[in-house]
Amino acid sequence: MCIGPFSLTTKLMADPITPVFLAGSGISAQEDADVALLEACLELSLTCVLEQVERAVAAGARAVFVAEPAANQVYFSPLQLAEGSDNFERYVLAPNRRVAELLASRDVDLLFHCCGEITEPMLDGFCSLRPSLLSLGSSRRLWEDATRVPKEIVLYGNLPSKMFYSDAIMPLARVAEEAAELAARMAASGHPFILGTECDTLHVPEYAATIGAKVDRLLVGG
Amino acid sequence: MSDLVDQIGSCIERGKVNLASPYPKDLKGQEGADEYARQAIAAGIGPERILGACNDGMQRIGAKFGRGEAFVPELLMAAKAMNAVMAHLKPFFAAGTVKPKGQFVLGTVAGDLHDIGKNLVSMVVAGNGWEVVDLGVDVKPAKFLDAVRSHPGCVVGLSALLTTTMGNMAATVKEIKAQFPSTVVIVGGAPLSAEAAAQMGADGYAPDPQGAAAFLAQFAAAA
Repeated sequence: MCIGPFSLTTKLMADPITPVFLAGSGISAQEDADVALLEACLELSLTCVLEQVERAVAAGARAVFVAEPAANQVYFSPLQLAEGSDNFERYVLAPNRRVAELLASRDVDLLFHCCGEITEPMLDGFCSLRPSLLSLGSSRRLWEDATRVPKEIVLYGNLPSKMFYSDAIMPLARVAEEAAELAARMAASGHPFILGTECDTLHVPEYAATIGAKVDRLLVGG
Repeated sequence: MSDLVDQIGSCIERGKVNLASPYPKDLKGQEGADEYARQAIAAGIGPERILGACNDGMQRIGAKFGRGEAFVPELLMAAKAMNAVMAHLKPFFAAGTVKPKGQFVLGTVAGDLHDIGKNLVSMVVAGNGWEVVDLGVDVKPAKFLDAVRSHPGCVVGLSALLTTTMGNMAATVKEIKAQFPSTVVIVGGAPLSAEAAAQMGADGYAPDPQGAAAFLAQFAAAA
């Protein structure tokens, strides 16, 4: 597993949103120092990710999960994208295409993850990377996404694991109900699907037993 | 004169920070919120009216955000434009000419380094006339307690993005309430909800920056 090049870039900058937005409005690296910094960080990040992927493959990996949680509408304004901006293509899809090509050249599967809030064009963009599996966040209705995701891409997800810590918000029974409903809807869609959670089910010490019970329930009932 | 005030509000709504800012493209090479604020003060326009323009601009972009007609990046640019105006108003706040509506102590809780949401809340709340004391990220409970001690009567805002730091948020709320029972605490962040906020003893939950501003407005009205 590795972080994707765009998400890694966002970790390197105090404010990545502004230069992404400025670039999306047509401002170049030559015109703005922050856009230049963003692009330099992205190049560095891609180098790191490609190196990591090479090492994973050399160690025997048959599939690599690439996580791009930042490839979402917090960083990329849907309004700007609808107006024709190509910053999502430049900063997310193009670098990830390099990763996808590397994996394909080694006959290793790309498993792609984005748990953020995304738009349909962003989803289409992820599909264009031709991952073997696409893991999405709980904001998505996977049975609806199934109508636009090619059948050769397995869909994975997307129970709201962020809320597993709370019995008030996500009681155990509701985990079972939502898992069953999702499984049924995906079966009806005919799209290849693996039931899972939207993202990591993080360990929270005071809520370990609560979270564990829900994960167990999901594994049993899914 | 009202033109200058209108221009300030418009620049904020559109995210036009200053003359040097290349965004928005159709306003490239034109003056922005920074320049108009300077001109407004020079023209004798009172700081309250200028603050009102900030409020109007942020309210308009905030309303668009609420309707899904603007998103975080647009809101961020608007907040940057507003910050440029606020820099000119700082002396008036310092001199007591303009009184903030209150003090808002804000931070991302211990163990969490995420600050996008917190920064947006900080900027929107400041644009609504509050003095914001931003403690940053990974803030231990003791630092929040020190801030409450230094700013009696403040409202405290806690932010967290990670589920793993929710415990730290609950512990912080508990410590604040134990030492300063009358201090109002509002929480926000992706893993949270109104129920979670109530469970940890917070007085309110804000799903977004506008929610935080609305909560503070209600608090100020009730005070």
